[in-house]
Amino acid sequence: MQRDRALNHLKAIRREVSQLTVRESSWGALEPDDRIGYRAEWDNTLDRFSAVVQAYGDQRLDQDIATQLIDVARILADFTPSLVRMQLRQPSADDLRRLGILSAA
Amino acid sequence: MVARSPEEDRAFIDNLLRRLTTHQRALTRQEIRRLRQYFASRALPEQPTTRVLEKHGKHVEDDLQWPDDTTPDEYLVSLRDTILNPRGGIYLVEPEIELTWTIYFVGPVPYRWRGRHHGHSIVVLFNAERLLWITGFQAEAGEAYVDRQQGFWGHRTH
Repeated sequence: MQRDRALNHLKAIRREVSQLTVRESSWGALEPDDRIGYRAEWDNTLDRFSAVVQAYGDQRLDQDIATQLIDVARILADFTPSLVRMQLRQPSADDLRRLGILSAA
Repeated sequence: MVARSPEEDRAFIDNLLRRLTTHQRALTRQEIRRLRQYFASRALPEQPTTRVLEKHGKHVEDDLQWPDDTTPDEYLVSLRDTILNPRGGIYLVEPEIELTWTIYFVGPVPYRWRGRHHGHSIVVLFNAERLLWITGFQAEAGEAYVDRQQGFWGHRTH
């Protein structure tokens, strides 16, 4: 994965996560179409996260980007309760384990 | 070419989608053509609306999935092309959470619409009961993204 692409993906994930708290506060009041659209887009956002994790696993990331990735993964893990409440996809346990966020056990 | 009123078109599509979601079968060639025509010409906005501008801002300007200079009108053109692309797929998702069906039109990303960080498929979502456009973006995982949505293919991508 190119450096620029990985950074763009991480930036997009940070942006989405930064809006989760506000979005959750109005989640129930949104039109169903807006929730459907957001879930679909969030699903794609997590695919981008997985793509960067894959590059990390293949040792194709520079160290500074790897550090950013782990930071983003920690933030994502912290938001798990919100993701559950909003019925949004959560980062995969395999991805988090690969980054050392979850223990192998 | 048979001239039909918007009301006749809408009734045909409503009926078709109701039967399709009940029986979860593959679409016929004529049904595929009618669905593509309806969603491209009547359900997708003709001009940039607030929602179009919001999605353009997110997927074109922020995520750079489309070329940097893609305008909101061109973004709509790319979605319309995807809906009408005979090589594209049509997928319907069961209403597990929101209790309303969603229809996906899925197609390859033409070179013209490949931004610096493009995905591997363009997906265009509509509410299949209200027949309203929801969003359109480029899926990182391509067709695999659609495949795991726990719905069924009315027409598989070629």
